[in-house]
Amino acid sequence: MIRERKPVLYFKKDSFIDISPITKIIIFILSSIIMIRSGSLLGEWIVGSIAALFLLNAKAWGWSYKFALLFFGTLLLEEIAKLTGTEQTFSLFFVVCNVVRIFLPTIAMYYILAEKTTASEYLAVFKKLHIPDAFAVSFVVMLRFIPTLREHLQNIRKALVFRNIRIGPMYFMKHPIISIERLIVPMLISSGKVMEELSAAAMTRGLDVGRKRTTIVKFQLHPADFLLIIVGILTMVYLEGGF
Amino acid sequence: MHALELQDITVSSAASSTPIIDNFSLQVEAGECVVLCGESGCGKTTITRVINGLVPEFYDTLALSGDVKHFGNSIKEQTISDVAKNVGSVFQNPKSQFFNLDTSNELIFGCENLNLDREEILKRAEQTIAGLNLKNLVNRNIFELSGGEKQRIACGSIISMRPKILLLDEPTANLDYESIEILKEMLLNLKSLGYTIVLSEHRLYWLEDLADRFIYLQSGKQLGTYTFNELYHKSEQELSEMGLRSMNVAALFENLNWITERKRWELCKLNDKKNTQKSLEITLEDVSVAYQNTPVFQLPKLSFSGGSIIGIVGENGAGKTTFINTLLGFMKHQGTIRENQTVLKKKALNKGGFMVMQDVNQQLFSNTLMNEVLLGTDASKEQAQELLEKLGLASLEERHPASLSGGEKQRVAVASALLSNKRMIVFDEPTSGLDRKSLEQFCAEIKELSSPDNLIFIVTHDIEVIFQLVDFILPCSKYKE
Repeated sequence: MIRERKPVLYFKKDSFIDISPITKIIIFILSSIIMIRSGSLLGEWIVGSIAALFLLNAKAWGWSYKFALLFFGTLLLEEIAKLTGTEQTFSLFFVVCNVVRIFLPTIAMYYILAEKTTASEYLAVFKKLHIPDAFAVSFVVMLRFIPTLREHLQNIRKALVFRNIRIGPMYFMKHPIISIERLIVPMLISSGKVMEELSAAAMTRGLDVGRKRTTIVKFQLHPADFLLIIVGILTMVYLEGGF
Repeated sequence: MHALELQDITVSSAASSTPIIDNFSLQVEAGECVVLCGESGCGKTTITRVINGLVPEFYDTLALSGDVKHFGNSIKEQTISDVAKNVGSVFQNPKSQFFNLDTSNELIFGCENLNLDREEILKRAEQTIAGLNLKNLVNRNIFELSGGEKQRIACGSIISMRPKILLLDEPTANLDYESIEILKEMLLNLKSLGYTIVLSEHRLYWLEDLADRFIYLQSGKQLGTYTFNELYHKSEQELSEMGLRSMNVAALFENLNWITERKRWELCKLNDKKNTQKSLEITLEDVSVAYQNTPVFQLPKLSFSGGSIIGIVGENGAGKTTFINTLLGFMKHQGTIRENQTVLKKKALNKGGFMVMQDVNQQLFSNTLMNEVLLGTDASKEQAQELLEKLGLASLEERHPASLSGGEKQRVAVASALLSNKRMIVFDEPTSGLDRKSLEQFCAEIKELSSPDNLIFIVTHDIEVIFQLVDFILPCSKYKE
């Protein structure tokens, strides 16, 4: 007789090494600061590598591939240009690359935090750190709300196309206030309803502030977490120290 | 002792002098399945909210008198989250009742809130998955599930909490025929396990074998109690007067299956509509669309002539949305789409088409109704006034679009489509959650709008709309080699 296998539930996202959300948050903040403030080549390489490793670890293949190509590709191009002395000719191009590169690790880490970390993981951390429920609950609902907002935004932009209005980057730069109004007003009205229904549903599932709650995921820090935090902090101190 | 007892419930709001629920009493025995029915606004949703305690604690503008008892315990001294231990609620909109991005965490979310042991939670989750046959839904991204699958996960999450009473508020409003069947199987199973089930519903035909009693409500008053058979044997005329939707749709389903049998991506004629003047013809030739290298459809030839109303049907994932997006110029396609003799490229398709979305709120942008219908058109104010008059919106000209009712918002969207001279107007699930009266009204309005200069497409699961309104059916189906 073939025994039917029981399904195994995963409460965390699939990854090679389990990294705690707190480490992800620290790296998110540190990498953003380093990229904006330092401008050193070494810093860029370290931060870029860490972000790329995070993406690989989360098995986000498409993202890792695009990130590595864009980040390290432009870095290499710049090096080649320096070696061949054609830096001046393409200076405008490299300025644009630089600006894009500054934000890339932040975007990558945001993706890791928003899409590759589950609500349970966050709730476990918040509980361990004794962060009040009122914050924890709203944070989790916000996290869940991001994909909904994205969906609404897509629909609204589509609806605007039917009215012969295309809000692309150019339109946005020319008419920033109108663009925001056209997007935000319908967004608020349609999201308001979802929010109300969501809060009602939350209460009927027993979610309430000030009540004891189990967290299925246990909060744990592994050697990898310490290693990442130490590397992040050392890089920051080293670069800020101006050695 | 009754499983559920409502004693002299009256719900009133400060805004109106007539109560929303007027002296309503109900006793439900353990293991019974009771359905609340009646037209929109009759108070059935409000009663479900009284049962789970959302009125008055959450909807605090409403005042409640009378008492609700679950297994003899009054809920007066309990908070909503206490009530949640006994009463599990599933809501109408599958999109707005989950809190996690993945199904596994969602299934145990309620148990975590009950502060159960880790081991106990895992045991319960396992039992729920086995009991409700959710095995192929675990460890999935909720945003990628269909409405029916989301609804099953919502039930699963509730069942893990082991409530004694299951409360469902219009659970089928957004579901297709097959999902309703699966949901019914699941509820039958739960009923046989001894769960007490209370439903509020517009669609009643699927409740055969499941419902023991139907409570009929009108303006917050209980007007009668029926069994399935009693309602089933009422004439369409009687049901229509009561504002209830058709009970006997089995014949319609058979008819639909017969018409569309073995036809895929071909127009099937439903009505003989005489169309003498042919001023508009949209033709698709060798149009094919692929999504991430997998073909969605390949159409040798398909042509629609002006004045037709076309129903787009098919199960979830059949390619209905992709087809519509192609017609409206949002998809990259191979082949040609022609309007009479002119080939239409993506931008021209964008310009010639319009979609009335499922959530109309997402397409209302202006501060008054007049500005709204004039946005993005070259039409004059007089033309707009004339059209609003025709659509019965003339007195609302200066109102804010957000303050209108659902049906009025839909009409505003249609008005702006007509004013900007759109040839293809698509309705995406326009009748989800409508009662009989609104449904009939909608069908009449659309027939009125249909003219030789336009094509109307209706994407729908609703069998009644198909047979009342549509001239042609386009059955969609997953691409097979």
